[in-house]
Amino acid sequence: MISRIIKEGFRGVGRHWAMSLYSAIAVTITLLIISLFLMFSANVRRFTQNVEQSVQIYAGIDYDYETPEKMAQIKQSILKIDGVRQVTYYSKEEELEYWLDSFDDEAIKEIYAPDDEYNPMHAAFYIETEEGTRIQPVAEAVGKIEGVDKVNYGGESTLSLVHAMGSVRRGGLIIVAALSLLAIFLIQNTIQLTIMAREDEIKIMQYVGANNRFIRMPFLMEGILIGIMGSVIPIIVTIWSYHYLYKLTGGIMLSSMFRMVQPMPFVLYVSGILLLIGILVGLVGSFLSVTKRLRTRR
Amino acid sequence: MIECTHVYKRYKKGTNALYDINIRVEQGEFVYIIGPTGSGKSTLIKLLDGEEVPTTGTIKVVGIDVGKLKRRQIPIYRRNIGVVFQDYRLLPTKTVFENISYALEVINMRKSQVVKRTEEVMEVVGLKEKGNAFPHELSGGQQQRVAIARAIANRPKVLIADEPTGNLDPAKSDDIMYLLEKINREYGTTILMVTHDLTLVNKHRKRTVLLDHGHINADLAEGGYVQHDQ
Repeated sequence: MISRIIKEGFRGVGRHWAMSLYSAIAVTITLLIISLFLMFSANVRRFTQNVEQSVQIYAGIDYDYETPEKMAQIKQSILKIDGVRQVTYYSKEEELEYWLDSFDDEAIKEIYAPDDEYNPMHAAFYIETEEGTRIQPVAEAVGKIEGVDKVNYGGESTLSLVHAMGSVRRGGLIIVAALSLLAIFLIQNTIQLTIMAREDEIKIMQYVGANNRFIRMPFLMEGILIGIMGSVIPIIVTIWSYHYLYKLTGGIMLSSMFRMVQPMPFVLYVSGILLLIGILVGLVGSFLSVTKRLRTRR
Repeated sequence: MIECTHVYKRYKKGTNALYDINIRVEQGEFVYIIGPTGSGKSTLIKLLDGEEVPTTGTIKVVGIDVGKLKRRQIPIYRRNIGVVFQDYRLLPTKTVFENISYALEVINMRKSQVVKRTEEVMEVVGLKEKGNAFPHELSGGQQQRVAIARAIANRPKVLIADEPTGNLDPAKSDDIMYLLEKINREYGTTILMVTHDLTLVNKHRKRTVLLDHGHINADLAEGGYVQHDQ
């Protein structure tokens, strides 16, 4: 039974090769669009995450509040603020060391290194927010806490970057939604066309006494095969073009913050998704059209 | 075999197609249904193969009340009857062999049996060498032979032929008639043939039912028909 379905499916594609090709091309176009979207959105996501993660709020502690109890109190107050994801404490000593490490020259380090117990640095909390857009309100709230001397988060430029990322993501989504709609329309039309040409065939099968399942199965197999056929080119293009782009840019765009997603497992995931969507589109498309033709009037 | 009792058919659009049709066809009979265009011949065929339901009255074929069948039972019912059409209705993308074997695969016959039976009926209709040809590579007469082979492949008790010679020249029509007569004679298949080819009806004499404007005008057991008004 199953071998008949598979055999008939292959035969159907072979003997209606022009129509199969036409349908497969429609699937190909759709999948290329989807592939573009998947690669684009995954990278924008990665960029946005990078930016958001690297943006931290620095909260320096007033010298008068350096006792452990008061520190703990301040930390608790910060954690209570809405949108705070993580708070990390750095002591005066760590802050000094970090600052000294920023100099490459040992001689300069020597000059700045304090020779007695005096340490001019503030103890500090570094605060990460849940979302990039929460940076400003959180920073303002932190500034109001008693004992916080200074708040810094890179100011306007950071914020505008975060906002820009957000609109890039939203804009991309809208474009892709529109393109996908177009693609679905294209596929539906194509399959409608191919099935219409085979309406007589289905009717004859019914005359000979085939029940609906018997007629439908080979058609579904055809749909799956067309889906697979249609996803070959998009998968090749995806793997090749992403590797090429990654190599060309060295995986970095504009600045080190814009790191591209590593190609290797990523392109395979995208290919898998493309194949799956291709098969699904072929299957659903042929199911809908065949079922429509199978309805006998009586 | 076929039993129509007080069959009326009125289409939804309001046209009346058949009035009080009573026909009884016994097993092994060969019957012509003749009549001009619009006389209700096609409607009668549609009632017999389950495509349409009679408005009133009952149609029984091989003991099955066709009008009472549910939609999903129609395919199974159709396995009991063979139907041959004027336009052959072969699957264009299947070979001759596949066209015939399809009718057998439908009834879940075993693969080896399918091959054997398909070759058998191809021999019966005289197309043994054409198994790998596609319908469009055959002449009209040959295509009709394939259609007949497909119709008789699963040994139906009843064969319904709707203008089987309608698209063929007289010589080819004769050949098809001889083939149908052979099937009727050798397998005892009941044949109901709709036609308006009066030459054929007069040459191969059989019981003839004349339909006119949806009424049965004559049912001549001795066969033959002369049109008086021409």
